[in-house]
Amino acid sequence: MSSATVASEAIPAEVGRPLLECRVLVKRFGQTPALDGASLSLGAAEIVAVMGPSGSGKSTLLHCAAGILAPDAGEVIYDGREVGRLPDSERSRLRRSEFGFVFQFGRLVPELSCAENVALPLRLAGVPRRRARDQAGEWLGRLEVADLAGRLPGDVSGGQGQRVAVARALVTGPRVVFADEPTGALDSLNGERVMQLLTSAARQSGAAVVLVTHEARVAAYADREVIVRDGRTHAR
Amino acid sequence: MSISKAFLGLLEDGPSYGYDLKREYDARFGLDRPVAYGQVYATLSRLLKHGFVTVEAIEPGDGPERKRYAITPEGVADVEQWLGEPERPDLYLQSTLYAKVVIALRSGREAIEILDTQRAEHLRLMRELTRRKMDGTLVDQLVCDHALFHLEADLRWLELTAARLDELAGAVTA
Amino acid sequence: MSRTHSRALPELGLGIQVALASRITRLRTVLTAGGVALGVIVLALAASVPHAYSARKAREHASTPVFHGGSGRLRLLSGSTSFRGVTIGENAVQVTGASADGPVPLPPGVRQLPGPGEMVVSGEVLALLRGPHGAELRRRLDARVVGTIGDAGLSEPHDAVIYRGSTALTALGEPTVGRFGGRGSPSPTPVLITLLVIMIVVALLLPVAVFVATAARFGAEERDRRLAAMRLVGADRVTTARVAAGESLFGAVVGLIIGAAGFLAVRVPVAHINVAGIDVFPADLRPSLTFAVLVALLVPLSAVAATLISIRRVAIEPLGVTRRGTETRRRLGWRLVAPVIGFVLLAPLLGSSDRLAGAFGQAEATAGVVLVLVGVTALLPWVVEATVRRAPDGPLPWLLAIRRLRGEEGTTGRVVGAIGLAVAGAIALSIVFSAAQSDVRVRVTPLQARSLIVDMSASTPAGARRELGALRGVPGVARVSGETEHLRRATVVDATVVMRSAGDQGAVAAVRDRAAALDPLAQVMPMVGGGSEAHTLSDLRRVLFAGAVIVLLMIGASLLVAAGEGLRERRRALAVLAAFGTRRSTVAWSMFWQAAIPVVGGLLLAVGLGIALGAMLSAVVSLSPQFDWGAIGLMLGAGVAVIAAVTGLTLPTVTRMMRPEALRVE
Repeated sequence: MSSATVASEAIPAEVGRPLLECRVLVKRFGQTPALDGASLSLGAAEIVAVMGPSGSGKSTLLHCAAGILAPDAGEVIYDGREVGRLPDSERSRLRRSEFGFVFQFGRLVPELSCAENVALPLRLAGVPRRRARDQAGEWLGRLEVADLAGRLPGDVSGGQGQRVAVARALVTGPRVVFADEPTGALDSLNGERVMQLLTSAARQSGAAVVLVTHEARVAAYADREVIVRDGRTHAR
Repeated sequence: MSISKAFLGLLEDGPSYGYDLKREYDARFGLDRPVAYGQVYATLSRLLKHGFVTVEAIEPGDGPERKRYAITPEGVADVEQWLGEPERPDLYLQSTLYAKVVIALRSGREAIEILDTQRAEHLRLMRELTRRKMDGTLVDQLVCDHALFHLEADLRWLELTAARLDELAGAVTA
Repeated sequence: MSRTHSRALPELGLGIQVALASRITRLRTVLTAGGVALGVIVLALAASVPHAYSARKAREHASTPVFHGGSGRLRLLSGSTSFRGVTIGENAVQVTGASADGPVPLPPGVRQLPGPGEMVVSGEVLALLRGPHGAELRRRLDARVVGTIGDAGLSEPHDAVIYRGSTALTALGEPTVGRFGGRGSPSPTPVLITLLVIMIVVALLLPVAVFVATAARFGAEERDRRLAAMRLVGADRVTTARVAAGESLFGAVVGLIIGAAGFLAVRVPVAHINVAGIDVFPADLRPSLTFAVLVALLVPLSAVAATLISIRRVAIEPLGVTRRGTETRRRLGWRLVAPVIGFVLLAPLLGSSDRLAGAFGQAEATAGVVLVLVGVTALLPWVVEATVRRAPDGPLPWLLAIRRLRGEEGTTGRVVGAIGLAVAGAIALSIVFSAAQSDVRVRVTPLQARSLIVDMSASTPAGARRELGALRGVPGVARVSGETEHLRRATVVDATVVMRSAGDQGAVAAVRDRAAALDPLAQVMPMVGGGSEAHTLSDLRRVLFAGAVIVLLMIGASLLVAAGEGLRERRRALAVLAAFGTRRSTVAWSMFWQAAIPVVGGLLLAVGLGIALGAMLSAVVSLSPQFDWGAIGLMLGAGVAVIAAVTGLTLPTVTRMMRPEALRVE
């Protein structure tokens, strides 16, 4: 059949234009083409899983969609504006104000406490210290890790750290959360918990989620999936 | 494992006698359980009734083994539909899926699409189970998790098969 | 047991292989070797000073004549003259009698004594004679050069000495020389010199040690992981220890070799630099054999010991690499011991200069100073840690820096301690030197700057009075005053000639000529010793500051290494910060604060402590302290430069760590 078709078979929560759209992205690293005509469409408050074998380019797709990387060709349209070609400072600003991130290994700043790590995106956005701290505490509570507030990342377990990372991703009230293998380093139980908390918190605050994973049970938490193979997307 | 679909798929390659069809089926799909002669001819007559096959020629001599069967356009359409539709995620799914993949490869169709279609169906069911799990009691969660793990196992096999398609194509078209 | 011993060598060899395997380990090895080499050179130079001092004394001793009555063949009269700021030692010699009367004692380095109208000169005088004003000197000395004085006859390479033949010595009734070699044995090196050397060594070595310690920690996380992996695979603790020891041993030994070679290379130019009046033969700069053996053993051993201590944690529980425990607090108690004892030692010396003159007093003073300096090094890390712990939250870059400083396992504290030591020591010493300098200058009046001392003799008192009158007649002379003293055979004149204006070289030359015409053995010297004392002090100050600046630069290098290492350790967190949209400037500013806080804090504390110590030291030697604001400004400026350099040089690394591509490291 055809190769790259963009069909948004989402649960019709949003009528009209999608919140985030990637059109036929191409991205090369040196000689290797990581993306070769990949597309993605995300509606508001929608959870989309991006699946594929390793090396398929799914992480690169996420990075381009999030404005971390600028694609070599193709468009990235967020909220109606083309953002793929913006200068790095503009894309940085966008990420600060609109997006949240969860990565596989948490990657919390080791010398800040968990609470300070969660408050970090708020402070980057200019929120005053006290308010940032309070909001961070709130989110830690929602993720059921309030008792870890004062501890250092090095002193908590993997599952706990990932929950802190999810709190950090959601604290600014982003419109899109980008999660790259969020449960990759966790065991089944911790993975389940993290996914439950992530999806329910996202749905509660109305954030859309782009979830990169190679595990079907994790992708099952999404509303639909997009398959990436050899740098191209196959959506149904 | 639907024998009639397999026969239709085999007949797509070209007309064949009943006996040859059985041999072909046993070789490809029968593994260590060859299909009984009775079942062969029962299936063929059913297919005849539905209009999916016709008798192309009758060799002189008596007995059903002398009839040469050929697939009809309706039969081809039936195969198409069968290939295009996902199976219900089930415990003994592999053999059917395997048959589908082999037939697709032999007829030059895109086997990867079959796998993709099936994956989408699995995922759809998994999503349902996950939603049920989130709102359910602990018992619900246990039951759903059990099913989810099995479905995931299926999908893993699908991924592996998808990765091996090129190899497989070489093996089945020989 | 024999099995384990036989594995020792290959395991050490593995360590050496590892030390060269990756870019990180190579860099660490290079840094360690460099630090060790520098430390060895400093130590060796310092340990050579006592020997150089005693060697010079021995040479002087060897050239000192021993007189005995009048029965020998050689008469010698020592004096000195000054030519364009250079003091020339003049020895008038007269040989009488024939070889049948006995041998003529020869001063060391002289093959043949000059006759009348002849002279044997040292290399420095030869250079002066050949120089732009050589004609003037030749006229003054009025003798033909017939030979040069060998090194054995000189106490310093640039010694200006001449032996000049004369016919007037017998008339003056000078005693004869029995032999050359002085009486008794040469005086031993004063305790003060040795103790000063110890002070300077301590002040210089601690920062070098800090640098080596920082370099050794470079890539420590990676090394810990490697060792943990080895342990998990089945290597026992001894094996892991041997491999780690091999790694660090390699760097230490290479550093040792480079240091030894460097010392040999460096001592030639050092000996030739005529700095602070210190002039040494290269061969004399030689540390004792015991020292050499000691260093050759101790340096590698301490490197190994330091490594073993730092891997102790990993060797015991290899799986504990990823988790970090709660930070251990530093304790204040023992850190106060050293400085308190130091001040206690110094206090009783305040103002009592006679006590200081004694050897015990000098030892007390030096010990006190060393203890205070060492105590500062120990105290500052605690102060820094206490401050950082209580530091308030502030804007984001500040917060990141403060937290990073807290979690750094002591590197900051060590660096600050080293800064404190170097700067406090430099400032304290500079205060003392300034005090001494101004003291010297104060003592010299303008009148004295214009005066010459003339030392002549005449055969009769009347002749002496005539000579005085002749001096008065020299143009450019304002006043002549003097005394005559009649000895058995001659009348000695001791006159003070005041010139009309200072620095009138022509008039000075005229006085010299007139005096020489009246008495060939006349001595004419400026009253103020060429300002050599003040020169010495200002030279020393310059050396001191050069040393302090070098030390600050080395500390800056330590900071840079530690900062780079810190960035590497946190590259994943930095990549995520970039993903969250952190501005590069935020991280850059946090790097700035990370460098600025320890350096500025250390400098301020050090300046305060240095001023206190300097004031105290000045009081100890009964001088009034002079605050050298220039020095303090220089130190602060150097500190600012270090901060700027560290921030600027880590900027490219920060940029690299925050690139989006950095997120692909999976």
